Amino acid sequence: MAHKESSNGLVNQSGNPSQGALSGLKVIEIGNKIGAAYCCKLLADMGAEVVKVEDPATAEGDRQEGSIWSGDRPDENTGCLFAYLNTNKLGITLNLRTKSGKSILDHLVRDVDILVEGNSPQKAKEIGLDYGRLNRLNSRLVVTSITPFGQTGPYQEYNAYAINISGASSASKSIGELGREPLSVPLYQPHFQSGLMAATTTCGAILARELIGRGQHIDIGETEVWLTHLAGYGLHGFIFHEMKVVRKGRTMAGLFPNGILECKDGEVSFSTNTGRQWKHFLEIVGDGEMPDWYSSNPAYTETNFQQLHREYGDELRTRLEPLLMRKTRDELMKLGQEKHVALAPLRTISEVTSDSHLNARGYFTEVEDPQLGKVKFPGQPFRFSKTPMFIKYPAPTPGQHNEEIYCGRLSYSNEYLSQLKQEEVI
Amino acid sequence: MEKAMYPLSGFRVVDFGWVAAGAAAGKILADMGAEVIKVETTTRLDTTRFSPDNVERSPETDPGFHAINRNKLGITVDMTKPEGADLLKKLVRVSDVVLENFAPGVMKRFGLDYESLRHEKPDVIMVSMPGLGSWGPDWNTIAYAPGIAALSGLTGMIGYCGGKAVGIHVAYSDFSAATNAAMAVLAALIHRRRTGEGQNIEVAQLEALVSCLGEAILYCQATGKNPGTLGNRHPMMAPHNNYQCKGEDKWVSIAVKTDAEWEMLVKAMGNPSSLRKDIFSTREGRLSHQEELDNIMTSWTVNYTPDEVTDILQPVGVAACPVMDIGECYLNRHFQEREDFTCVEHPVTGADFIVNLPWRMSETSGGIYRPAPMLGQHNQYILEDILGLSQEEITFLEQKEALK
Repeated sequence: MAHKESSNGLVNQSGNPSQGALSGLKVIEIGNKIGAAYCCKLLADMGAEVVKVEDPATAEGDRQEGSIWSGDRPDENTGCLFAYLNTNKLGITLNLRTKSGKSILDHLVRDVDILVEGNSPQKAKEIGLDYGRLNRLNSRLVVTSITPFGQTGPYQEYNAYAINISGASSASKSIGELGREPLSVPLYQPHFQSGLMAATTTCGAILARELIGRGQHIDIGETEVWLTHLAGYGLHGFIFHEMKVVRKGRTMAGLFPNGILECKDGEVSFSTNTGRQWKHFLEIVGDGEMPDWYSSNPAYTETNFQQLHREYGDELRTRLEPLLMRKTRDELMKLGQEKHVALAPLRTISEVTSDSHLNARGYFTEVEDPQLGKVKFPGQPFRFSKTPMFIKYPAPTPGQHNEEIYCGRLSYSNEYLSQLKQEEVI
Repeated sequence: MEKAMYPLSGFRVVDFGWVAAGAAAGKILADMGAEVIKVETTTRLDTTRFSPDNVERSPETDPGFHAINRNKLGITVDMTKPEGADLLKKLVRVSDVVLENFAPGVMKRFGLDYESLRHEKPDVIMVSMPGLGSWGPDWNTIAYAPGIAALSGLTGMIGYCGGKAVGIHVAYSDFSAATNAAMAVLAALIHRRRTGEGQNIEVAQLEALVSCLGEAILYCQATGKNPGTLGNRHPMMAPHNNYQCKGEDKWVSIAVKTDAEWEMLVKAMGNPSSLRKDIFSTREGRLSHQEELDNIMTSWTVNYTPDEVTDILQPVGVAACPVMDIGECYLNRHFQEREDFTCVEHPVTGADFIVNLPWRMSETSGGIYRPAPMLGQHNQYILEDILGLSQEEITFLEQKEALK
């Protein structure tokens, strides 16, 4: 295998905010919704100046949010989610349920480009975030709203967490085993993909602003983001062929066998998409020989749409696993690469964190986080040749940049700032 | 549909994207109104034209291909022929963005890498989407979506709590990489508008997944523990699960975060004494007795359909939603009212049913205005109207078999 060290001038995590693709853009993030926070992290990591506005009453608690069930002690949390979502942001506190809080928000939005929020349409109105009002304050403002079901329709006010979004978007029903409960996509993935789609459309609106001379309101429904990711195939099958996606545990649907199999020292994912790949896969696990049973049943040799897997999945597993038990994950991956067969170990998160390839690419950046100490943060998956991506500053502590923003940007006096503190507005 | 009001009106993209990741990135740009030209060759057909759900097995009938290539124009060019590669360079000269997801090195072999293309068009923006990236020790690893999900650590977290991993059955890495790539292109266009400068971009599909797992990467370092299979458990919410309902394979998701939500849930369930026990009165208690709690919840939910449970719980602010498959989503009143599904006329299939855009923009939304291209469908338009080639020049390219 040829070794390639050159990064082709594609820089990553080493620049300054002023060199980023989005430098010069000012963003306000309201509240601590995960989708909105990830959207703004993406913008901040590309150089936009993001001010995160937190409710002083809940700011501390929001730092405890997390999705990983450790099983040892319920309710134990480490602040990892908050630390990850809020790199490079400035943090201020502001109580939007007070009158003076609302008028301070009005000052803030006058000279920013983007406002991102994740409140239900009703709640947004109550705290002064309805689009009509914001548009009157700043006609060039792009307002991005990320909610579970979007701004219109019968479910617009529905309360929904990641597990609800995963289920309502058709993601869960294909994960797990038939006869048992469907499984949600893990770790707030529905919010992350929605934040990513929101950042994408927000960039689109910034480009469009040059075309039309004004900002606009973007409505992201988190279930819809997942629907578009998942339903390209299934919808057609449902309408024309009454096909249903069935949960089949570790066996995946496909023209040829796909899924997860056990081997000597762990598990591997394998996917064969053509008859040739399937044959090569069998040669690899059979040490160059085709197993006897291969030619005994035509279902094993022919493309029969999804039938092979739907009907013979379990039988195949019992035939394949004894063969794989003779090899390690790494041996299987190496042999697969030689024969152009996709075989990959199921890695743990600690293996990913110490992976030599990702580390050689400079993908991780060490940052000193006030709560976690010095830890390796994943970078962003996009690397630009001219405009560096960077992860430089840890997530702000509650109100860390109050003085900088209120006295610096809005020119409030120190006395007024103390007064706002006393009135619990900030 | 009036295209002038789309966010990317006036931009042109040469889309070498094939299979899923590249094509899906081009789809987002096309949905925003860019003129996206999908480059294909009949000498090596895009495998997505023959996915498992393509029952008719014609290259023009694949529902997945039609979904992720709608709105694009199509040209067939054999880039292994020097005349084909030259033609593509001409096309790049009048375009803004080039997008590709071949294995690292393929574009360079035909003189179509960033270094070559920026001589044709100095401010071009090019995005490549290799599986593991174009450099680093494992740069030439072959991996499809399931392998990338396994390598990223995601697969290992999907399974019943403490049980074996079952994994995710959709090409998640493709979609995450596609959206990241589209966003990076838009950011680069913003930079180009400000400075006049184009650039090269790489989105490694593996990294496009790991970046969505940042919480776990930090958790592992902070606690020294690996998350393992998580099931439907949540460290701060209980109940938090999918519960069985009346009917075959019918489920409702219910998640309770605050004490106030818990109170409303118990009331809406009719104040059963089984839930009024001390062990359930605090969040800590509910989290410590999840199995017992789940059993009581199920004994209630099995009497109702998912919609009935949703209609009982949502009005009092409890997060409950039906767990739907795509057919149920299609018939759902909310998605119907939001027009989340649409139908595009197609010359071969008659009609393609596809999911609508995942965003609404109040001024320049974008839309679905054209079906996916048939092989070579827009050759003439692209060669004559965009590139201004004469009939002689086109005949020459045909003779050289460059338009296959």
